[in-house]
Amino acid sequence: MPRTNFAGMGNAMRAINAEVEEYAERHGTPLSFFMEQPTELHPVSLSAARKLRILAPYVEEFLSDFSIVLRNFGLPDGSTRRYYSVGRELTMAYPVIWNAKKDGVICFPNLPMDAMTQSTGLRNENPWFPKCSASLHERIRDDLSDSKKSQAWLPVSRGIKRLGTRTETSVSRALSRAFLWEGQKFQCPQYIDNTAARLIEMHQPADFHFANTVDEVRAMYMREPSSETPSSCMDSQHNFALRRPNRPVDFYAHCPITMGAYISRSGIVTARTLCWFDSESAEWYHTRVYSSRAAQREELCKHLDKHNIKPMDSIGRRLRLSAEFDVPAGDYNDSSACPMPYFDSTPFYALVLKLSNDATMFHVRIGERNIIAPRGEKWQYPNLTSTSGSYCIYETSECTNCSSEIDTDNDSFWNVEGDIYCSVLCAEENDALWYATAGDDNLVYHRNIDFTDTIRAYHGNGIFSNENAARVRGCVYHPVPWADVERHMFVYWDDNNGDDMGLVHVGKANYHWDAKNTSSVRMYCDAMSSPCDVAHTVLTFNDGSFRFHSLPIVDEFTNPKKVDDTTTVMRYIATCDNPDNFDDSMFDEYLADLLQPHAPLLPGVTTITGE
Amino acid sequence: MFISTRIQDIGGTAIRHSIPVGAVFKYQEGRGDSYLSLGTYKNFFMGCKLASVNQIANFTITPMDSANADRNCDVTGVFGFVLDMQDTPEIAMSTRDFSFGSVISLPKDFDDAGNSHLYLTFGNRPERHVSDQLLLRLTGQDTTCVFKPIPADSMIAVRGKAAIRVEYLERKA
Repeated sequence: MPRTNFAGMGNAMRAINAEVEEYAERHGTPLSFFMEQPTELHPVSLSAARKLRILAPYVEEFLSDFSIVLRNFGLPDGSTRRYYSVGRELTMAYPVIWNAKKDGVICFPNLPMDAMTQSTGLRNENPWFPKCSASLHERIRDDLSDSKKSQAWLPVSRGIKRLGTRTETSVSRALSRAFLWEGQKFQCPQYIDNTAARLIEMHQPADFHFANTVDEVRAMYMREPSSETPSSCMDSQHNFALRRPNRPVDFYAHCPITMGAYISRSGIVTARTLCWFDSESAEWYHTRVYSSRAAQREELCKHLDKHNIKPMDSIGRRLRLSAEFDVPAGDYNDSSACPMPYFDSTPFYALVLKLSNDATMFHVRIGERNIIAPRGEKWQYPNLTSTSGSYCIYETSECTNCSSEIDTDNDSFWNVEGDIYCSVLCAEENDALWYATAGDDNLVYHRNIDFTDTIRAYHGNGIFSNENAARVRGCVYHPVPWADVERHMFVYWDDNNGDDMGLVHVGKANYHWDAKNTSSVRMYCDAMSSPCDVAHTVLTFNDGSFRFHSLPIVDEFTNPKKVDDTTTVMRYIATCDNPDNFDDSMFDEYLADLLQPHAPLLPGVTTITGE
Repeated sequence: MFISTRIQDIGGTAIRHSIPVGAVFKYQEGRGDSYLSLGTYKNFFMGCKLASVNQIANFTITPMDSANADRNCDVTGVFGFVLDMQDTPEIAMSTRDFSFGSVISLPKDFDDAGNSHLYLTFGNRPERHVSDQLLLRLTGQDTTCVFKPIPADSMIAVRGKAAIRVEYLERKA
């Protein structure tokens, strides 16, 4: 690594001093009014900054690992923040880096840092303008000005050696001494031990597995609430329209051209993917690799490469696979249900299925539509992007609500958990509503929804699977465009029914979901008398975000304005543009009582004059 | 503080629709945002959301039939209004384009002693008649009905500006 000598800084400081000097001379101002910038710093200070810059990538690596563990296993205060990064609450008191084996750490206790968080970093640490080491530089400067304390830093070689003091220690000891959460050391020894164990575990070798059987595929999608396993809408944490123990991912085990591949550490799946077999080239290809860390994704990719399984997007053509197989029927509300996962990759033209006569088996075909599903054979097409987890076969060709005849080969129709409807309206009349996830929406029966984490749309017949789905798919609702709401409210926009909600589109702009998350959404509000009424009540915004009316907050310990003791709250003074048209009688009639002294203030209302 | 919340209420828990006017509260299992309760008008919760970074409180209007009404809240503080009165009131019209945050008085609107009531302008009514203005009364004895709508183009006297003062228990020590 090239040695950082900060030579440019000295020149920059000299230039600033020269400019200040010229300015003072030009304006006749004594130079003593300005502070001269130091053009040179003590070599120990320079060395401290240099050391921190050298350690920066290694510190970042450890801090990143620590942050992942905190997000996956919980924060020191007992809360969780799975989807957001750990912020400024976590600070590092001095550099801590992994040792070579990554089973312990090396600490640098003589390089104390203040406000070192994951977002600040050490890569640009500068002794003139330190971001994380201001206290250290201040201490070096103070010590050097004291005849006794300066002995700790002089000669320079001793000072530099002192800065570089390193201690190899256990992870748990480093966590208890070098890290602060909201300015406090971690309180719970058990939490420290568990966190340290998980940090070390992250770097232990993982086991590679293929998943071919039902049990193996289910194990691949097993996710404990606080684990490193990447989440999926098909994982074991979700409920589906399918009675247990059947799971939607069982489909992959029964399909002869798919298998799972994953790595796990201590039984915890840390990365996984699905593989598809191309009989034409007699090769396996894998789809997207899911993992919570890039390192785990790379590790799984290495294993796949060893087994000659290539990424599907590397072959330069679209795979068109075909297969025919049976899937044992599951059960949902006493109907036969075929386990049906959400497919984020569909390397085939179509997928059709049909229930066996004894209703115990689904016959599934994958391939070209015309070949696999001849007309008149009543093959059914499941939704491949549904997250309901199953496909319920419909057995009649009449609308379940209005009994009108449906030609299932030619007419469009809606399948709600095995019942078919001629229109969305008919389905909605029969207790169906839209269940929207981040990537899809389906009509489902209200009575069968698992309401955990769901958010009901305030307008529109929809329910979002969780807050994230509502943000991605929904539009926000505010009764009026100029005021915020106490909790985000959403509109489910049903394209099939059009705008029948009686709302007015306010506009599309950035919306601040919370302190860290902003995204662009459409806003709807209650219908005003005309759209132009909405236009004039939307606050203008310069930063592309919706804005709301506000009042300033005055802390009880700060005075909002210099109090003028001579201020009189009430004076009988007013201005009149056209005095000729204004006589005393008009004044008495219209204005006199308008300017009366005010009535006693309500409790909690004061004036800055102290009334 | 404002109208009905006392310092002793801090630390208490209440369902959203029972939160007293003048309370600073947080939703349990919420995102940690603090809100001010200004009471109800028609079928809306009127309030403010504290945005401490900007030292402002954003006005909020939330339907009472939203999912919030039955959620538990913690009362974390109290608030009141601080009025910065002008030396010289200005006679004006409440225009169709709404104003916000001004302290005003109205003609022929006074208490038994003949003193003018003061109101805080709260913008247009949160109903369909956008041209009407909504006011929050800051004076008088009646603490039950503090919101008052007035027609657009009413004559008013602008007498100052309002700010919010928030008080938390821990700061009282």
